[in-house]
Amino acid sequence: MPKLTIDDLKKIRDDSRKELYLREGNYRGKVIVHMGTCGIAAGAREIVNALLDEFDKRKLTDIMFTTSGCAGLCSEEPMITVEIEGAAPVLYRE
Amino acid sequence: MAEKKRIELMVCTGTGCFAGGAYQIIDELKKELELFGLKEEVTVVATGCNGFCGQGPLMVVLPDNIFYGWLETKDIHHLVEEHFLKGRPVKKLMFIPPEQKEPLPLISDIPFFKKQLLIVLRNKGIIDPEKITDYIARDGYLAISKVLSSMNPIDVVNEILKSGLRGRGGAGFPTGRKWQVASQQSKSPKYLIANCDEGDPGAYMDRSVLESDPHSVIEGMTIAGYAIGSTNGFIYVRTEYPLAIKRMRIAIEQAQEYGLLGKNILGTNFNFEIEIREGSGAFVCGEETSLIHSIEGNIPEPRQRPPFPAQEGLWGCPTVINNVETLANVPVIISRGADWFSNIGTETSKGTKIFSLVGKINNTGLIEVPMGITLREVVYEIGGGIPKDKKFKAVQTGGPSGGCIPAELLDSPIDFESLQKAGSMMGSGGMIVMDEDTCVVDVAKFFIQFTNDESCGKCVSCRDGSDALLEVLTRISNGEGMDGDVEFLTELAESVKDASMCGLGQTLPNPVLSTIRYFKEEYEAHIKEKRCPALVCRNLIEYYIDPNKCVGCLLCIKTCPTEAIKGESKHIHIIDQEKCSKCGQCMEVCPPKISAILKITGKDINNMVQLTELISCKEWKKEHEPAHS
Repeated sequence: MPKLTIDDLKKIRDDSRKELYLREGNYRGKVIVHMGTCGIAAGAREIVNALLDEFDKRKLTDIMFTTSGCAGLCSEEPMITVEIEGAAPVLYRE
Repeated sequence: MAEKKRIELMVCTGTGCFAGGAYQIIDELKKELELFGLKEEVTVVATGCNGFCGQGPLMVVLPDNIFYGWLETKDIHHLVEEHFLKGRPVKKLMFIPPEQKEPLPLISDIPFFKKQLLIVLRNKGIIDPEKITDYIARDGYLAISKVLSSMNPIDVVNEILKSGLRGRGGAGFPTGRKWQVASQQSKSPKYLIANCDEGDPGAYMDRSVLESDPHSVIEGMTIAGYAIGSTNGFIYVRTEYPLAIKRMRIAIEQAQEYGLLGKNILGTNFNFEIEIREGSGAFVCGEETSLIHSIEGNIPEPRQRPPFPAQEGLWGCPTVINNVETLANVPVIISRGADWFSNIGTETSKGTKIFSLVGKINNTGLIEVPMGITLREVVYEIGGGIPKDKKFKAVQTGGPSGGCIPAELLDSPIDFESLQKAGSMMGSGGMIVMDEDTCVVDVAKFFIQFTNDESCGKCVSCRDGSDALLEVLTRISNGEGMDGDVEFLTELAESVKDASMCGLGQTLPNPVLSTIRYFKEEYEAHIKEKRCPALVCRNLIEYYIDPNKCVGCLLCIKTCPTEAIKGESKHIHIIDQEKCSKCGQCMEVCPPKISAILKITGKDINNMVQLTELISCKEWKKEHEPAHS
């Protein structure tokens, strides 16, 4: 590998940082998929896959993606909750 | 392949967790993630020491920030299914504070981590120490870029001087001052040595830095090399640290590959190489001049200073020796500036210090705290207090060359000067907590035994002085102490301090002097009353069975390895003192409800002897036995 210059180093830093975004914890919001048994039965798994694909496509690194248990409203599953900083949480159903 | 990563599992693989089976946990995690089809979404990262060693093997789940401790391979299937598939964190694997019932899920809520301030350990548990790109992503090697592109060597020295950074290896000599002296020498070549010869019992700060963030040491060394005009660096590390050596090797190779070590670093005309030198683990090698002798291939013995190594060191050339922790501070000081750094800490002690918190403490582990924090905060808030609600007695700081600090000084701040005033020292940062069941004579004996073993033997005062100290301490703990022993110990300790050449001899009497200073009455009890108040010294204690409590269950009789206990079922048991080896196993097996075994010392023994004689006599037996039937 050829010798690095300072600019190369900064570029490597910026590229590597994208790999590490999960560890930095700088988020402006979070998406929660409810993955109780009811949620999984209603297809929450597919929702997770679709969301992750979409996150990747749009290069979203400032939104935390996470899963949680049953939200209690089982008949409306699959559901996701979206919390954006400074706004009230929103619950999306089916 | 689409990037689907949503969870990262930071599994600690420091030496503690490694020994606890961290790599088996990683294998099991990978297997289970594959099984549940989560391999692409959840990645496993092997990190350096997390610090909370008492909870290992452990991991942190990101981005949720959930902490799991005491992991076992059998828990992993459940954990992967519940948390990573279904999103339900597993409570039973979380940290539960001592004496409480509810777990604390988030690492940020755990008091052990709350009061810490991470500068040296800024990357611990966040990066994979075997990947240089992880370090670079966290602004690694930007400090050396700044130095090489915009600073003269003199600027670098001045910046470190201004920051107030002092050596973290023991004596606390200003780092910038050392660099300044070396940089002014006209002789070349010059050498730089990172001292990772960490020998204190119970201390593992330097090892952890090398294991969790080796590149920060490489970067610190390169900056130091530039500042003093050296192109050759050595890392002196003991061969007993195989993991640290392995990670350091990998790090050096990667840095060379990236052109961050070697010729023309970052395209400039600055060259710097680093070699690892393994020492065999002699305590005296932590001393600068002995270390130099060891690298040269000679017998590691100290020599008289001056000339100081910065003037005349390795192979007669100017040499700067800095502790690993000191060097790991350097890149941050350069990046964030001396002013930022000197705002942390106290008037004379700047920045943070890593301590290994061990002994009788609930939260065992490695902590980094700002200078000036009080011992009470460390012991009770970060450390979570003393197990089993025992009373705090003292804390030994500075390892075997430090001193015992008693409870009345718990509120004094931790900095170089305050510790010295209390008769101890900062040392490299070992902190051994002792509870009421610790005997100070025994502690002093233990440390003198260690330094006596490790004394290189060059100075009579250290070699024979430690022999004599050990002899007297052993006599006292055996119950053969004489009037005047305390005065003799004090006088001898002072002479060893004055007459020894290097730090080893100059500091080895500290445990004796500080325990005499704060716990003189305990020495007196051993000498005058033949009593060990903490019930530790074997020759001064005896085990007895309380006839009013013994129910004659035979448990202790079956356990006793020397068959010293006599008795039969439902009859009071009696210990034969001639045969008893004082191992204390009877005390452990006696059911807590009964607690019939007594450990006693001094006058109590006489009372008990009379009572035992009474039990043996026939009339008493007729009246009382069979016991409690």
